[in-house]
Amino acid sequence: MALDAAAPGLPDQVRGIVAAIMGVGPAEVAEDASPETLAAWDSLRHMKLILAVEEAFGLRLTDSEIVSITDLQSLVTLVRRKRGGGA
Amino acid sequence: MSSSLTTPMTLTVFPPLADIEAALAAPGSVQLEPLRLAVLREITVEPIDTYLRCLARRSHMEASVAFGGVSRLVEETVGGAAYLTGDLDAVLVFAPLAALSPVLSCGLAGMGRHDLRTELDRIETLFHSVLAGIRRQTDAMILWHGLEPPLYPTFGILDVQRPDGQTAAVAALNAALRAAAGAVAGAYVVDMAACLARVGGAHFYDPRYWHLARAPYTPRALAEIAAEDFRFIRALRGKAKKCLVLDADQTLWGGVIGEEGLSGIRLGGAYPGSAFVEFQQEVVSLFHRGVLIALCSRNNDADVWEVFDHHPDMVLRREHIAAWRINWRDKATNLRELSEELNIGLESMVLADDSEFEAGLVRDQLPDVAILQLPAGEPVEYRRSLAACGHFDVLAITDEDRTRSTMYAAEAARRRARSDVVDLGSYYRSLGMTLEIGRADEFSIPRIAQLTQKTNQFNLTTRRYGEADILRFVRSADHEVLWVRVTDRIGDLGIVGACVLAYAGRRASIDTFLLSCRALGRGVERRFLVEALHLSRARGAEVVQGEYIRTAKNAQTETFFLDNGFAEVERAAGADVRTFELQLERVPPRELGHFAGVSSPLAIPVG
Repeated sequence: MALDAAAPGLPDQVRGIVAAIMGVGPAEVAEDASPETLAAWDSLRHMKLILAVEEAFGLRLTDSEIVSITDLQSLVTLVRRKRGGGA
Repeated sequence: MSSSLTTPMTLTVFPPLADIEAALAAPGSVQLEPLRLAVLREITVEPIDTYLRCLARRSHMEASVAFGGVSRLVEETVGGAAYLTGDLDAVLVFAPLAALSPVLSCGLAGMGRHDLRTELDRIETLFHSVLAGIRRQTDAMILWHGLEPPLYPTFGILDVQRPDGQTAAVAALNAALRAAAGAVAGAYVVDMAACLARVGGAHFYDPRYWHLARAPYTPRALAEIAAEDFRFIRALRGKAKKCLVLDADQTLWGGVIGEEGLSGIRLGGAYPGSAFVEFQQEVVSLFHRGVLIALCSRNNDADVWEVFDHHPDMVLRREHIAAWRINWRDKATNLRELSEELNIGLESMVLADDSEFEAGLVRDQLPDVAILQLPAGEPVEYRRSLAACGHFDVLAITDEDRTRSTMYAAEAARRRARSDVVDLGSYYRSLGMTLEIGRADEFSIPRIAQLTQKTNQFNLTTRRYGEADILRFVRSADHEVLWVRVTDRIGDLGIVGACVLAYAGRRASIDTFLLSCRALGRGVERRFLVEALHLSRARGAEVVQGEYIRTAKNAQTETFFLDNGFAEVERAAGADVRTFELQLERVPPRELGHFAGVSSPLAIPVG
């Protein structure tokens, strides 16, 4: 099930995935969420998050793209770029 | 319960990871049994916990998954780890070749024969020490994930020709692992080669995360592996199915027998009849594995039996069929009757049907019955659907399973005998039943463990045990494990009951007391109890305590202890846990009753 990346709610879709994987409510995932601000965001959940995002959007990130993801913002930007939605 | 967590047609079809996590966060609507898993590993496999918890929920369990440290397999097993000493149901071990032996994985071409042998020996020793280390700490079931065959073996096309190739090395290690696990009760090898083959190499490995996080497997691979693990876990927890109920038209053959007649239906020969033959062969394989086969079809009785008796390409025969309902009534009523006739719960039945309408109706009215929806119009897929469903996996196939067919035929003969006699006492005597009661040994342990896993109805406490648990009881000075075997003039029913007694000073308590449904209604349970009580008295006990723990299935045992002279001493959790006691000076005498013979470890013969 690939989500529609062109939809205006892309950041919210990614946020929903972050919330589900970290096991918190969507409201707890702030726009600037990162491993520093969210206690549940450890390295293992980070891996699971990226796998879940790839699965949800039908993407495959390269290893260098994976290591460039450090927080919610960089994840959203990358997903948007990979889906051809511009920066 | 969210739809993400309900069982789809195929075990390994999952929604996206994030959807499963969201659904798991919502509270379940039914009572969930706890399932405690530990993962020991040389690698990162964390995303598997999402699939494990999802599969647990589909079987009405709530899984907790504890992970050991990455690359600390030997340290935590041989040395010990706190999370292995608590209550655990299963320990999952992940140690693929790349982690276990980088040199065999990537450097085999440069190894001499001597070095190769040394390395294989080292890993074989590791298998034994890790298994022993786990067993020292817990009796939980051990699921060791075997080694996958290499996708591109070291010596290329020559590898498979060479006794010192990578392919041969992996095969040798898997054989060593099989032998090592075979020597440890309750340890099993999970077939990773089969998981890899089903998913395909291109979708099984993720080199990015192997290098980033020592995580070799893709989510799809982990889903397949988790599903394979759950075949073991469901069997351990008594959730394996016992009976396959088959529709006839469009399931066993193509077409409608009532309309097209014996020569008109598609069965045998070339396509499409060949697909139905293949499906029937799979059904007969299940029959030989001890699964009961039943028919439930909207048809005229005579039409269906005409195919069984006269169609030259029928693989399935009358003697494979334990019970049938061939009539025009609704399937739900028929399934209920079949469950009563076969004395098994609806939750032990699987209905295979090509009609979505019929399947939907049964799903609505009898949610406990599992549905194997055959892909309508695609008989070529039937066999795979049945083989892949995983409903019938058990941890051991015992002699009792292999001879079940004969037993059910004999049961039909017994039913006929019953209608010839008037009172129950003379019916029992007419059976010429003998009971043999014994203490558990290496031959009976697999069957006893299986009985604790499969028996739902006549089971006072419904405690599920693996072979390792039973072995621990047998070796313990404070426990005694008894079995009962029934033979009558029509046949041998095999070991049908088990009892676990725990001793503390002058007190004995009945940890487990159960009888297979196949032996119910013959007075066996009462006589077996009396013998167990005498055995505990002979060991010095003065008081015996019995316990009834209510489940959805065991209501018929609630008054068993009261009916046999025990007095109730305590009620807890409403009346869901009831405790009873009997002073052994009041134990009923050992009598033959309606049995032709009773033997037991007590030296003095009966009667």
